[in-house]
Amino acid sequence: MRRGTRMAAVLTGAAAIVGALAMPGVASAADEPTVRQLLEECEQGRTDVCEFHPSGSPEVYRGSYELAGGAQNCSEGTSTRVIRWESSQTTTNSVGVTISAGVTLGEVFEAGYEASFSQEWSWTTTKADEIRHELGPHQAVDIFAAPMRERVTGTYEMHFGDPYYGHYYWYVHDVVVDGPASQPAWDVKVESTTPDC
Amino acid sequence: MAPIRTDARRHRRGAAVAVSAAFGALVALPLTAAPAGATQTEEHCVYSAATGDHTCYPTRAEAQSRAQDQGSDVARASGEVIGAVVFEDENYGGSSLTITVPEPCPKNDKVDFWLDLGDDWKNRISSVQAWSSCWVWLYPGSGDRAGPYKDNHSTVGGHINDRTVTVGLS
Repeated sequence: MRRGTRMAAVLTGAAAIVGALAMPGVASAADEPTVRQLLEECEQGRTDVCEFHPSGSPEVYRGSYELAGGAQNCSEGTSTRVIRWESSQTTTNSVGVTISAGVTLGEVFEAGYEASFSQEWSWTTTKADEIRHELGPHQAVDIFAAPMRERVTGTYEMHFGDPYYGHYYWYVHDVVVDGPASQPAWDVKVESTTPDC
Repeated sequence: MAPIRTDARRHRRGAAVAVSAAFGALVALPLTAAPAGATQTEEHCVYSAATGDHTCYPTRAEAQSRAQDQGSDVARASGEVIGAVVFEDENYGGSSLTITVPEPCPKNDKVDFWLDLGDDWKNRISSVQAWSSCWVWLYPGSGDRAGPYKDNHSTVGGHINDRTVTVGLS
């Protein structure tokens, strides 16, 4: 995605690279901006160009199981319950700044992702469902749900109209954006637990 | 800007390679022959269109890490920026070749940077990324061309896939 106007004239400035592994918000050297500072310049629209380039294919993986619901049977007889559960997943990132729908950094990422892989990024997802489960006397179960998630690693490329910390061009590498897979296949497991009767 | 033609020879780390660098200069890289019969493994190279410097690393992360170290120094000296990255596989997979240029492509309706691929990179490119203001052109041996690729392209298209012998940046 190209944001803002391109430089009409060829600039003779220098380029520099900042690894996203640097501590966000902590200056590593007086003459070098932090990752957070650089991304904030993009966020505030103070760059001529701000683009996201993935460094490889998205990695799809099974997310962690999270408690999504449960039921208990405090009676003396067996009971078949319809247990409703619900779980939500959001997008996180490795650099400690807000990269989400509706902010510039999110729009830049989204545009880069969609151009790169011809599919939309899913910022959040919520799944609600129900299962039938037979509970014996004084039994309880917890329901855990895990969606498929997807993470993309890439670089924010930034061009400045005037030198920023002495350079016109900056790269923030190794930015990892992690969110729900576009077509998440949820996995659900039921585990026995101690009833609170 | 005068167009330059380079001939980057992709090589294994430390392999014996001479690079015909930009502006006609000839640069020899440190030489160590790769073992005969060595398995072709993924590697990630950075090629400077300005100097002809060509360095490869076993992982993309290492290439980026080294590029950071080099990037700051080289950038302050010569102002190099990334013009394009080409990949061996679709979806930006496999080996990669990052092409740096002295300045963003000037958009003068000309192909400003040429890179004749060495034998190891010929007929292997399957996805490309256009960086800076550059557009990427891919030339097969037939004299035709494909492009411009103006953004990130997870596939280059069946008509040019694994057929590129020259890369142009405009």
